[in-house]
Amino acid sequence: MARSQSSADRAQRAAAMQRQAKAKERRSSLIVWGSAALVLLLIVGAITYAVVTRPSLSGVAEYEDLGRDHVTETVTYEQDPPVGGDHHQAWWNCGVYTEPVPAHHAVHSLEHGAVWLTYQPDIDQDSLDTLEGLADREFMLLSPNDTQTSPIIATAWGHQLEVDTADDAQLPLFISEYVQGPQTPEPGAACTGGTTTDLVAGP
Amino acid sequence: MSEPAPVTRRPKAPQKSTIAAVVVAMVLGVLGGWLIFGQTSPDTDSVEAGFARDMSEHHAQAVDMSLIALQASDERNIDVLAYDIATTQSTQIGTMKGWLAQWDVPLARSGSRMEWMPADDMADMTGMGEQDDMPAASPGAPDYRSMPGMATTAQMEQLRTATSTEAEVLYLQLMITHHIAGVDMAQAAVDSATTAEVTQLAATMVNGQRSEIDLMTELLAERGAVPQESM
Repeated sequence: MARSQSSADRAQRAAAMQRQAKAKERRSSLIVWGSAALVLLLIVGAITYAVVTRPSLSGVAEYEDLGRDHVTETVTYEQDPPVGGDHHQAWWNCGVYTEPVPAHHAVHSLEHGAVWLTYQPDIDQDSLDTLEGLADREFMLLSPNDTQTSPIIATAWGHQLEVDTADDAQLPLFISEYVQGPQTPEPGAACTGGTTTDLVAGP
Repeated sequence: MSEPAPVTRRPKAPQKSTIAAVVVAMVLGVLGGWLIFGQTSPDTDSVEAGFARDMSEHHAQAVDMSLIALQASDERNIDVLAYDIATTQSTQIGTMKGWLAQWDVPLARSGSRMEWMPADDMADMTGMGEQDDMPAASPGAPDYRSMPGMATTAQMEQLRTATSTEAEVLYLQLMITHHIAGVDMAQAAVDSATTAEVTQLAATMVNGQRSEIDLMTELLAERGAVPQESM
């Protein structure tokens, strides 16, 4: 009797151990799958967040079939400031200007891969400081433009973005995208060594 | 006899095969991804590498001619043109040699010039006659023209010694001939290359040099001269 009792005891203990082992397995698989699911959720969440909050260049207008001939007189452009078209043989040197720059020269700078920031002359000093900070790099032109209808406009060859304020998040994106960007008709060309005086003897 | 409790290890077995399946799937995934998205760079005999080498050499002479013209001429429109060509083409040489380095192929060609160009495109090119009967092993020979459109060593010498208007006219004429062949070469790359950065840059060369040919033809006319060759 004692034997069988102890045998039943053993069986019971074995069953208990089995249960314990099963429970342990369940726990560890719960931990594995749980953490895998958590990691997956974190990744999906991060991507969703990045996609949703990413500032986009959705406001950029694009123009095609722009003239590229060299001319020696002023040109009437369809956009203000122009996004491309026929232009003078000399490009306008990139940099910061406090007076309007001649469009027939600046369009040639766009052809060389420059981004041209223009603003309405009544802009406040803080905004102007911000724009000067943005223009403080190679292949950037900054100048006032009396005739444009938006406060601030960023222009690259065939591409234009109109914004209301200098701290608009699209401006740095526009600059990253288009300074010597894929739209550049003459990659490798310089934005120095051109002209800073109007070579068209205007009226 | 009491039955020994079957201490089951069953759940472990599927786990092993699951791990094996995951590993196999990952290997297949990486392999598939590599096949689909993996970039194989052009090899040394490719159209891309041939174009990069030959166009670099072609560009180098245009830079040389432009720097000579920049010194010889006091005319603003010649200076601007020469500066534009010299800076643009120097930068493009850097881009093209950068490709060769990145593709891990030699910068020096192993075969002969223009081998990468399809025969049909070659046949259409002007200036190939000089190429055919040029003495292969005499790079210093007076009328050596190493590639279509390129100025001979005698013409380069003539340009170096010319002054003012004579230098301007010679520069414009030599550069028009140079550009015409450059456009043909670039167009052949646009048609035959399969690497996006190569076809994109080559396409900008076709358009850029074409518009410069028009400009130079006008500048020649202002000086009462005409191109030696036309497109």
